[in-house]
Amino acid sequence: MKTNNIQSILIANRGEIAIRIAKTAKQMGIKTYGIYTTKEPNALYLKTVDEVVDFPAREKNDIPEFLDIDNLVKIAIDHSIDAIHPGYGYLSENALFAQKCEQENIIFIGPSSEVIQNMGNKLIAKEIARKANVPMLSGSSESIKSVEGAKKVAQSIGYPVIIKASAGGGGRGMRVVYKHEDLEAAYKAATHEALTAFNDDSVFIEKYVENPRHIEVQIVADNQGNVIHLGERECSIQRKQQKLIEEAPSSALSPKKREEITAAAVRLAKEANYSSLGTVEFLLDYKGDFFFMEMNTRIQVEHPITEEITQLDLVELQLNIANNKPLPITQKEVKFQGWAIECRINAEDIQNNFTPSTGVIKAIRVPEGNHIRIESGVKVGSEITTFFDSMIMKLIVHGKNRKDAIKKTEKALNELYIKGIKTTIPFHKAVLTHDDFIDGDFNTSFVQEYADELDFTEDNEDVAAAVYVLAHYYDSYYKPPQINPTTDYWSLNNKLK
Amino acid sequence: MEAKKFIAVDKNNMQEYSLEINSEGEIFINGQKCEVEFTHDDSGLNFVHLKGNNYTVEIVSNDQNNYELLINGNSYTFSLETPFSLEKLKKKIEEEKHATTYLIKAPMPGTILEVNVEQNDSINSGETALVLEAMKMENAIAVDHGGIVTKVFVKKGDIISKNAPLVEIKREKI
Repeated sequence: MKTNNIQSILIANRGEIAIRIAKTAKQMGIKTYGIYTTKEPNALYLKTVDEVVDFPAREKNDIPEFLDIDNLVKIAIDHSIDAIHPGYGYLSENALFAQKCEQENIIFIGPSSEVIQNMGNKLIAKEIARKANVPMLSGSSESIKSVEGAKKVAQSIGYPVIIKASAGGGGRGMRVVYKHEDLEAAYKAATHEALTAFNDDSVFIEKYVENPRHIEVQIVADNQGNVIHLGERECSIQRKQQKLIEEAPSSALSPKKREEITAAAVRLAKEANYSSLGTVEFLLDYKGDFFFMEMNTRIQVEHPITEEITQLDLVELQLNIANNKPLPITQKEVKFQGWAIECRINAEDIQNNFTPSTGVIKAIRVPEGNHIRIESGVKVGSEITTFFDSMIMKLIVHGKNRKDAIKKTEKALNELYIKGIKTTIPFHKAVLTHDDFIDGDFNTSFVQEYADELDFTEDNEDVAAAVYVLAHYYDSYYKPPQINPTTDYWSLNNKLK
Repeated sequence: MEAKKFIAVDKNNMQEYSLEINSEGEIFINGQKCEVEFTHDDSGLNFVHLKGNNYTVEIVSNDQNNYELLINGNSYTFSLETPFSLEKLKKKIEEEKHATTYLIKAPMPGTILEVNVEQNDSINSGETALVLEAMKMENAIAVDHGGIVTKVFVKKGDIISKNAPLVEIKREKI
């Protein structure tokens, strides 16, 4: 197989993942191009790439830049860039984009457009999983055409069932049905939603597993047909299908189960002729049985926890595979060490139902230590707007074991502070100190179940707030005395000093 | 120094904290003397040290005696009152509760995706008046009390900031 020699990449993404990709590319001597957008002219990622490219002027401004296939490809052609890295989200799982790159002889860093197409269609993906003998939930193997068809399938597998859009993702076009009489309305709602969201109204029906755990397996496959796994990640701490805390490995798997689930993921990847990085997502029910859910054909947000426990650079692997190089390691050579936890720091107001929090970041204090890794898309002065996703930073902590990782994460969260906006840090503190989380006794319903308990407040926080207000007011309106010269006892406001 | 007494009122739950500074500069909270220290670091963060704990504090907004602040990332809204002004504040809040018209304000900044009501429409409690998009999430804004829509401040496509007035509603019955 002819090896490629990627010398330049266009990073078709923003935020922390653009910075993450640029970092490894730079270490490999690859020139990086980042994309300037008017919505985020001072973005941090623009400072970490070698070249900043202006987005071409467009007549219609309605598609976000990072979703504009034609113009992204045009940028790569115009600047003679060898390859495009799509990151996660945006066009990372768009077969059309990958195909366009293939046609223009630009290397798309990811699997082939055909594989993306297959795994993106849930019915085709299920068929591949069936052939690979991967456990699946009972359900329809073809798309459902009518209410009658839906009723027939639902009755044969038994309630509760879930209706899912074949082209779906992110919870759209999805409905859980507990009773036969609710099926018709749910079917109509799901097909309608699927049509508007994905321009494809085909749906299928599956047995619904209540309160499962979310376990996913990291796959790495080269273009020579070698496939290995890098263990599993547990992502059960989620809210409205959005992951908030991930850990690797999972405390829910016995060594035997781990062997089974990772082997199943490898079989699936082989059956799919998979290459590049990929993640096979499974549901784990309360009995410990796992079922294939879907495969993500890109790098994941939570990839750093796998990097921490394997000491491998996943972006480096991805770039080398794109160069047609064979995997540098065998399955046996993969060594798992310790436990890693990732907390997604989102600009959200957890006291107000996780609504977006916007503003300018005025100060950042990050914890330091060998076991701590911060992947940040922002810096002091960054403006958080509602144009983009709310995730601004990831805190990744590596410990000797789960207990050690939890303790270290808790400590790191106490040191982490972002001034100027509200973040999910108090949420993470509450989860990390919650008995059920510490005991490993949780599933995907955790956040909903304990919603009232998941805002961490220190003792006497209200009193500290009241006394600070008093001192600030006194400082502003009355002459401040100098009580203790070593601390700024009264001079609270820097501008008053 | 000048001795002063205030009552800090937490506007979310109307909890009162009696605060006192004596002529020695000592602070008393609810009558108890309180060892407290205020510091800041090089990164621009401010801290309160109280009863063995360190709290990171930032003022979000301050208009005279009204404060919105974050302690360890959690919001607190206070107003500082004298015994006299506190009585006035309580009266005002009671009046607002019984006001015939009320405003629905934006709970977050974002873009107006849909406006479902027009002036003079009647709307029931729990119904969605408009849909606000922020960070790719759609948020339905429902009304707490049914009534007649007396004013609509926004239209589809408007980009609005937090607390921007959206709709004014005249309550049917109180």
